[in-house]
Amino acid sequence: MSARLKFTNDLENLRSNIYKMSKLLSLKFEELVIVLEENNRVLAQELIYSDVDINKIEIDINDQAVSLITQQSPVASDLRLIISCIKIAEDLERIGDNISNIAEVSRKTQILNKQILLRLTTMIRLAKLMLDDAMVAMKKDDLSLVNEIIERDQDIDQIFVQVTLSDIYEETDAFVTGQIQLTAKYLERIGDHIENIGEHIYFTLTGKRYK
Amino acid sequence: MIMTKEKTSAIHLANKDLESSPTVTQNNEIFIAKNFNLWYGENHALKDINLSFHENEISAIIGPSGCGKSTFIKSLNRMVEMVPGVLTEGEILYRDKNILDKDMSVEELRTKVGMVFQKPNPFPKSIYDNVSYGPRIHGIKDKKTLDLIVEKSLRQAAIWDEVKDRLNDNAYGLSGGQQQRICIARTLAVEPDIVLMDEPTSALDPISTIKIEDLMQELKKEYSIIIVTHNMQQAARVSDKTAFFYQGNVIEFNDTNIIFENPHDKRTEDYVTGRFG
Repeated sequence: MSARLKFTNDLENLRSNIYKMSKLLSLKFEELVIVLEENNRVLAQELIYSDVDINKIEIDINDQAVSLITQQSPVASDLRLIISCIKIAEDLERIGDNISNIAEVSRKTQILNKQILLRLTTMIRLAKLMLDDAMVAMKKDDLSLVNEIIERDQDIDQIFVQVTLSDIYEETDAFVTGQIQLTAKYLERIGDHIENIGEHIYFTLTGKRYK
Repeated sequence: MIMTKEKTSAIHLANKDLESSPTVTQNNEIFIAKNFNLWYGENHALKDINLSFHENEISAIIGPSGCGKSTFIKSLNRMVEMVPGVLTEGEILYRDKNILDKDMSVEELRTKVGMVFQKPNPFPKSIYDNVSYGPRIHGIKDKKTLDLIVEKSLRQAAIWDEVKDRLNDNAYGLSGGQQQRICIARTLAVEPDIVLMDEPTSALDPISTIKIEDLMQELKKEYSIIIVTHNMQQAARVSDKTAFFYQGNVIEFNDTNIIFENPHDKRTEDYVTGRFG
């Protein structure tokens, strides 16, 4: 196998690890909706345990990237892809942490307010769609989709503001209110991480910073 | 420096990309190639080359074997004329003077445009004689003056401390890296304006290579350097501007960081990332 062909294959492996990590998170988002809607505490516990799988792939991606930089002295688009994969993996890992945090909240609290619950699950679904689309954009080098994903973070932010500031609260329990706010904040952070991922893909494709 | 209208347009031709980049600082031009063509018999080796090189900069020329980069660098001091059947067209301006003009003195040109080659090629003489050879044939006879020139040149070539106690030893007794620095000192001894380097470190070990690269950074304060290299990491490390040659054409000439981080032409991208062929 020629050196360049091996390098191309190694870069593909690096990409596929990002897709794998993202796919796991996408499934976790679906489970998180069930956890919140059905107050499924067993599933919440599973979500927390399985975060180690996400962390492991991040370490693998970092190790692969270090090896490729050492062996191949990459430049131009190759280097941008490797650097972006390291950064995307870090954002994905942080998304995993935030999912665990929400699951942790769900183990302790049941959110009964339907309006609040609908808004939180909508945030999760929006995040899942953003992440899925980010991976499509990465696979297809689709720059217009990347731009759209980055802008879509505003939708999550708007719901976050609604949840934290609106008068839809009927909760009188300060603890439950606090946990709801925490959940909304974790989801808002997840949106920011996906926006970051969009910006990393933008950099990979164009060599420029997203403005 | 006053620029003529004609000259400004030549720079524009050569540096279309550079002008759009706000980070580029333009020193005075030392060499401007204008629609330069070269044929080896039937073989059209260089095609409409438009390039400009600037003072106190290191410009690297990269490209696959046979792309014309060595031919081009050898055109800059007219060494290429030693090949039988060479025909040229267009202009190469060295400080406003077309070096291809019939009244251009080749000896004078080669004094101003020194060259260092791939393999160290000291004369089979002492270190002192190697370095003082150029000044001597330029008529400097005074021993004290020659001593000063030899010391200054060896210091500039970062080898004085290694050889000052054995200036009368034969240069062949030195290591490859040391011999190459002696050759650089020999080039500097005639006080050139520009130093051309044709793969100056490809026959050297990594430590000697780093020494030559460090030396280049020092030399660019006083000289302008144009280097042909096959080692792309070297071009990325040492040069300010990089020209990518392919099949006798200049595909892209730009700031080195742009060439290696985000080249504008797909062919450049394919070459620097190793996807070529």
